[in-house]
Amino acid sequence: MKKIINLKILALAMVFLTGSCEKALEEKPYSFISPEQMEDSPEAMNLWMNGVRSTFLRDGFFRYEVFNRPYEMDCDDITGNRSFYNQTGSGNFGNADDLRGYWSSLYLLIGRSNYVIPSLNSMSNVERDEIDNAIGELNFYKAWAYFTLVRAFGPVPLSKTSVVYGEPANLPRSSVAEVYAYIIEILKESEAQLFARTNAKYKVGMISQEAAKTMLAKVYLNMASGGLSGAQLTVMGGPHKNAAGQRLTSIPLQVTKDVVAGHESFNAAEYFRLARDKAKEVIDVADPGLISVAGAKVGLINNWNNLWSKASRGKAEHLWMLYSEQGKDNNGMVLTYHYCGQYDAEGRMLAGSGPMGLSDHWYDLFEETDRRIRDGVIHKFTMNNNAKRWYPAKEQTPTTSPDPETLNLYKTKYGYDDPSFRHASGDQGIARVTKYLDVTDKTLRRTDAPYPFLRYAETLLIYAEAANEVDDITEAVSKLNQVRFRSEATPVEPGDFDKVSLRSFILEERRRELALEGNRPWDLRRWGIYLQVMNAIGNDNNNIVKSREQKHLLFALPIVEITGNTEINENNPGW
Amino acid sequence: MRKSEGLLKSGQCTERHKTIDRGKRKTFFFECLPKVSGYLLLTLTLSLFICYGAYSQATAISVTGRVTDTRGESLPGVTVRVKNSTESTSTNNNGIYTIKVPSPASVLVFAFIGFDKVERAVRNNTTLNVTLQESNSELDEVVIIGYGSVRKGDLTGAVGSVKGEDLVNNNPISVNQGLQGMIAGVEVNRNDGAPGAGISMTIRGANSFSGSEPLYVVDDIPVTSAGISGDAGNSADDAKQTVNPLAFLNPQDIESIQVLKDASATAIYGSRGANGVVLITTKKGKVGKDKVEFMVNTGVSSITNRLELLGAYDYAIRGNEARLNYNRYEDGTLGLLWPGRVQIDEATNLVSYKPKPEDFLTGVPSGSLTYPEGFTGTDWLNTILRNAVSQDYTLRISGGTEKGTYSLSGNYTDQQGIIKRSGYKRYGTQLNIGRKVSKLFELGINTNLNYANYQMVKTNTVQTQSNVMNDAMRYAPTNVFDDPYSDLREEIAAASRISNPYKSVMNMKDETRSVRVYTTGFAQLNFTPSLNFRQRFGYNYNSNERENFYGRDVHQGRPPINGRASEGEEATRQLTLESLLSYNKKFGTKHNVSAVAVASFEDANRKRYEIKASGFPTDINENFNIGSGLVQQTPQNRKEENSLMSFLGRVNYGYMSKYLFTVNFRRDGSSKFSDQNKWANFGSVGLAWTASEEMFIKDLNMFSFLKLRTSYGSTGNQGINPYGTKYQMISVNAPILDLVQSGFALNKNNMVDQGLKWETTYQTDLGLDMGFLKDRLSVTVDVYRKRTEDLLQTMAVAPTTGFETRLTNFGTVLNEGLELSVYGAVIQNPKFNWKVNGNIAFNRNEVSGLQGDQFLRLYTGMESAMVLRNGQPIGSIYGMVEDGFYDNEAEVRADPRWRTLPDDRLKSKIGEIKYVNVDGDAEGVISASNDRTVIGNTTPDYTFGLTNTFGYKRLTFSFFVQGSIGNDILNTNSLALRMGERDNFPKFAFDGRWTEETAATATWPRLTAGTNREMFFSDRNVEDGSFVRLKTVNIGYTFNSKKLFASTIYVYGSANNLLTFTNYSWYDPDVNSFAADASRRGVDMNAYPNSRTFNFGIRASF
Repeated sequence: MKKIINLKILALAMVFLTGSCEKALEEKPYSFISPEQMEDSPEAMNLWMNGVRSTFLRDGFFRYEVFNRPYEMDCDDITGNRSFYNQTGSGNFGNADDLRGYWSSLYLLIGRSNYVIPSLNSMSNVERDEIDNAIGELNFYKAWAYFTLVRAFGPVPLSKTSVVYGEPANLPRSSVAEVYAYIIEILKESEAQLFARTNAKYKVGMISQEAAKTMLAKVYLNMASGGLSGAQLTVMGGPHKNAAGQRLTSIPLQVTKDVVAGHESFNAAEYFRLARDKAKEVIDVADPGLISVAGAKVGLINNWNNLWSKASRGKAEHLWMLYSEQGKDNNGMVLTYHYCGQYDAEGRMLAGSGPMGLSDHWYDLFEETDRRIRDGVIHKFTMNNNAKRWYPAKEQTPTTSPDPETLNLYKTKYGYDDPSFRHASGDQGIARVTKYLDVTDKTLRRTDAPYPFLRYAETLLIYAEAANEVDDITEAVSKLNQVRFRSEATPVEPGDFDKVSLRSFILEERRRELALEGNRPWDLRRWGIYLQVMNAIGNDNNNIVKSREQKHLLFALPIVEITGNTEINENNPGW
Repeated sequence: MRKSEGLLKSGQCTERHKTIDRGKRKTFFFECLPKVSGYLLLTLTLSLFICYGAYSQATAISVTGRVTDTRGESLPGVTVRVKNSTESTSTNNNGIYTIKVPSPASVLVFAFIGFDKVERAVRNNTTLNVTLQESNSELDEVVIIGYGSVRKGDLTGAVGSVKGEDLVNNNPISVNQGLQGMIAGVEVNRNDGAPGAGISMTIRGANSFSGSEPLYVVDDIPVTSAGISGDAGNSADDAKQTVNPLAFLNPQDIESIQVLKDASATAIYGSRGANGVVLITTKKGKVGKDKVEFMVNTGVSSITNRLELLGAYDYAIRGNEARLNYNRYEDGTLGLLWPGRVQIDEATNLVSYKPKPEDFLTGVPSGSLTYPEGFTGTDWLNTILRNAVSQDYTLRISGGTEKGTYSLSGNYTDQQGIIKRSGYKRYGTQLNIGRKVSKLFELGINTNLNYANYQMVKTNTVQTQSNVMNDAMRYAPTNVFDDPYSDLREEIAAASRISNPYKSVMNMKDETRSVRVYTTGFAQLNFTPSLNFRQRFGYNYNSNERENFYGRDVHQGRPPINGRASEGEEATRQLTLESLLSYNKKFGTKHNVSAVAVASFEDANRKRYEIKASGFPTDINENFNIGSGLVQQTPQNRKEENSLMSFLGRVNYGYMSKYLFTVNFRRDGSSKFSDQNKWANFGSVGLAWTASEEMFIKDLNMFSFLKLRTSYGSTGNQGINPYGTKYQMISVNAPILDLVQSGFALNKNNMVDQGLKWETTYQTDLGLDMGFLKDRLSVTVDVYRKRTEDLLQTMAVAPTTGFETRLTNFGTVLNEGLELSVYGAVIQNPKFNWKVNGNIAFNRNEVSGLQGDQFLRLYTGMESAMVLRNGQPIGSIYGMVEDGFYDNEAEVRADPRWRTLPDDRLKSKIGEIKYVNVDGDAEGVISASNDRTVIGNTTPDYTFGLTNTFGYKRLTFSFFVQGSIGNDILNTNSLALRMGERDNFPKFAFDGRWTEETAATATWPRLTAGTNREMFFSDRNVEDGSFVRLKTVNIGYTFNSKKLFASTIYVYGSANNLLTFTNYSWYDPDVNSFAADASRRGVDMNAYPNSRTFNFGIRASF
């Protein structure tokens, strides 16, 4: 014992006598590195970039299953178990925690991109075009984040560089026009910086020039449709049920659009033209036909199932996909669980899974042979309590045991071959898509299903919509038919339409083609028909409140921003 | 004298140091360092000569004798001293002493702790037998203060003390638990009622946002403790279960506890003294016969307060009413939940009879496939509770001679929790050895080895996570206990994170094994009786290893998950080295000087790891083969390190024990701050005037003791995590197509403040100690004012910055308070005595200097439930204010809030909560951004404790009442009461629900099957948390007969938490889910309920 004590005395005396206090009080990190330790090399650039990319999979984006709720749920088509819809899904924006995650995550993405750009710019051991390509990707993320913010919240603060570099921590809100101006500015940079798909340096699966161009076209289109005044549309919708609770089929609603707040100054015709031209740039370099996935070139994938197969991820039609790592709490997304359901080892669907489906009204938008519902919707499923279900009810005989003749008819037509499958009712009676179903392991809540942020099919639909608005119905119909052709939908003729009916039809085509890819809520808003369409429903089939008021046109800012930012002292009107 | 020259040198060093300007101070220190150590070595050598000289005096007369107590028993270890001389000795095991005195005129002083001092002139006696009387006065007690000890009567600071025997009277399992209500100004909160759960302590009000827990110092060395890692089912940041940092100490091993409260006492602990200091001294052996002590305590506990929930009948009525309301007010589809007819059961897909409410009164009729005949409901809370048995054994052997002492104790504690499969076990030993090798050299070592096992059930988690208390409340009473379809039903319930509480408890495992090695030791060189050098060291290792498994029967692990397991460990290691030079000398008869100079270095590191997986082939291996899981989570680990270097000194000067003066200085350097702010100075001055020594006070004949104390000084706080001044690039992986790639991203947690610095508390204290009637009654009053500046706080920043929080200094907290302690021996009669010991403390707290409101997050979804606002106290709750309910459409229409609501939807707001439009905007907008205000405060107005002890012959009876008045509780549990169609809830909410008939008296909104009800966090969720509790009742009898094999046997029975008076609606008002976080005190989040315990025990000594 004594010996040990003496050693300690000696050790202490040594510390004193060498006067090494400075060293003894040095703070040594073990489990992280400091920014200065990042190198100047292509590998380091990749580390910086992956750091930004990882943001999408964390916290308020997809980790806590938050992001796609505000992004997807506040619209007419989506439905499911109503307990899942108690926040943004039923207009409760004031108290919605989802919106905090939504806002914070988008700004985290912006903040990280802002922080990384100067570091990449100062690298000397990486080729310039590689650096530009990387910065182009960051600009793309920033532009998308602001686009997503401005559509949801209206005026928002513009953070253009990082607080780490001295940007004020409290930024006031910039007007809608200023935000769009900045989005366009950085998207144009991005467009010039990113590699085209045909560039030998382009890496498969990454964001390309074509994605930036399509995003820019989408932004123009958004500005144009929001700014257009007095236009008419027909939307299929209306009440889902009558007073007795029986389901009703949709009716055509004639609506006059409102001008979206903040878009008043936008010249609609001009921005429709810009949208058309920008989309055209992508179409011009794309494969005009249907392609198999092997090629990296942009183009429509040859059929609906291939489009959503694992092999197609990040290729051809998929201009921007967010990838996932199955099973991981940090990197796995719950898209399969949300949209398709989670399954046990016997392939039975777990109760409570798959809360995000589409309504009968949506299903009724299709011809019955359209691959987007024939292949794109889950028709036959078994619950884990062994209840056997078929969706939709209308494709099954009204009785539970059809006569052999009818059975045969449905069998050849829809593949309905087992009379023990009763039609799904209640909140199981919803159209669940198959888009997120080709995954490695369906028994996991977090699968490897990627999120399809942007597809070439949308480029074509943007083009079609813009072309129609600048009075080129023939061009519009031709591109629209490309999309329809792939899904075996009957082609339409220019002669079938006038400007208003084609406008309505293209919007409906977006509803069909891009369902549950994060577009419908924003289409309703940008066309200024959100309140008209939602209020025509009231409570939907599953008793989800779809009625909205004026204040719902903008989301409520999260309280953390108002309390944390001295430049913002009040919320959006009504919140 | 050469010795004093040495001291002067050190004084000069300190003096010079003080005068040097700020910029040069650091460099000076490094120059000064070798000098300090050189000085130490020099003194060391010099002293060797001095002390050899000191022991060669010649003496004249030898006096011997025996010292006994009033019962005639020998008193070993009594100090016998020749007055006005350095000559002293102590009595041996038989109470015999021998001392040499210079002349017959000499006076011998006999002193022993707990006895009145006796002075006897020698005259011509060579034998002097003395009887000492047990003293009422505690003034002569020697109390441990930081880096030294002092006679209690000579204290200049505010120090509260508790003796070991008083501590164990209330049968605490842990030391800090035992302090609840014992000392004025010391507020002890249980985090919850779980065995072994964390306990937090605040001394004189919260004054820091980075933790207001005091510094715990055990046997002279500060304690650090490991936290616990996360578990498989939940994310780590939301796990609020805590373990007690002082659980390793057996209260039976405690000699005394001193709580240092004012700056005069705490400044010696400098940068860590701001929250007060708790000095704990373990029992050492005493000179005398070997002593064997055996203590045993067994107890039975049950829940103190049961929340009354709905029975199956009420539950079913409620389900139907919710559906009817939904249809009536919100156009929802009608369909009774409990129709009393045959239909398809939604969970099982079986065609079966679904009962009507009345069936649960009479018993479900036969023929239902999914309910057994005669079923009347299940009380789920009952299925997880039990009468818990606890046992606690301590065996101690101790003894010693003048050459040295030893004490060896072993302890086994097994405390069952009142929730099944929860409990706490402790196996501990404490070995304290002291040895005087020679007059020159002595050493001592105190070692505590402890192993504890915490078996936890999931409680005290945030409301967004599953939790057994929440499960027990919400799981439907209409579910059958041994339901064969339980899995299917639970899956439906699992969407709202509820699972079968019984299965949750029985089929999950959550164990934490805590290993603690706590060694402190010293070697001391006594150069002269008045000068010594002590080298202390402390090594403190604590590892908490957590194992976690959710089997296939609980929803976290149910197929297709196929079991979920995790293991993790958090370990801290801390080495402390301290060199002390102490000097204590009386000059003449009037001047008394004591001084100490210390250099100290502390290095601590913390490591943690965590591995998790799911998808196991079988439940058999539990968490012991994590590699066999098909779904592996990324393993995580982390290491942190920090160090603290300090130089400190203190001088006490006393003039005739009448005027007392203390000055403290400490300079601390911490690794946690950036180079510009690494070092800081702290210090204090204390003055005391023992007025009762003045003739004019003596002449009053009123006071037996009267002392006025005052002190002023500064202390600091550095209770932040390491690396607070560094930006961190953290490793994050990102999948690109099928390939997962490495990445680094800036940690969003901290927007770095490079200028981060120490938080400083300036405290003024004025105290009065009064003794009356020969100290039979003593009263201590203290008033204080504590101002804490540059608060270290993690403030929320706007998310637009890309960061969440910023660790920075700003704001000021002022605490002002009054403390009163009374001790009285009301009746002192050989046969009957009655003692009262009470304390009461008032504290006011106010925040200032903030640029704007700062909000505190409770958990995801409760981002700003508490506020720090200028002029308001810490612990202010922030939310909406309610104004009853909308009773009819006209009332809805009249409210501008609903002006745009279409007519056909007005009715949907009837029976809903009306909120006050606090900002009064014309549009009537109700919004969390503008309509919240301060709706409560979790800080009590005052807290008190009162112990009455009665003795009749050998029978003792005591009771202890403790209370906290004026504090609110933020009850997050009531946020779950959304009055929906499912999920059980307390009966008071059901009884208070809004209906058209009860509109006038309703306290809760109407029932509804709808899910889009908007309920804000409001004054509904804030409750008065005041309580008065009969904490302990104890009755005991002492057998004391030589005929028995033991010399004394004390047998007792006691009851804890017998009665509680409170208006709090939930389980227990003594709850604190955020543990040591002072800014979020008084939050109840599914706390483990408190228990009432009946104990029986024996303490025997041989």
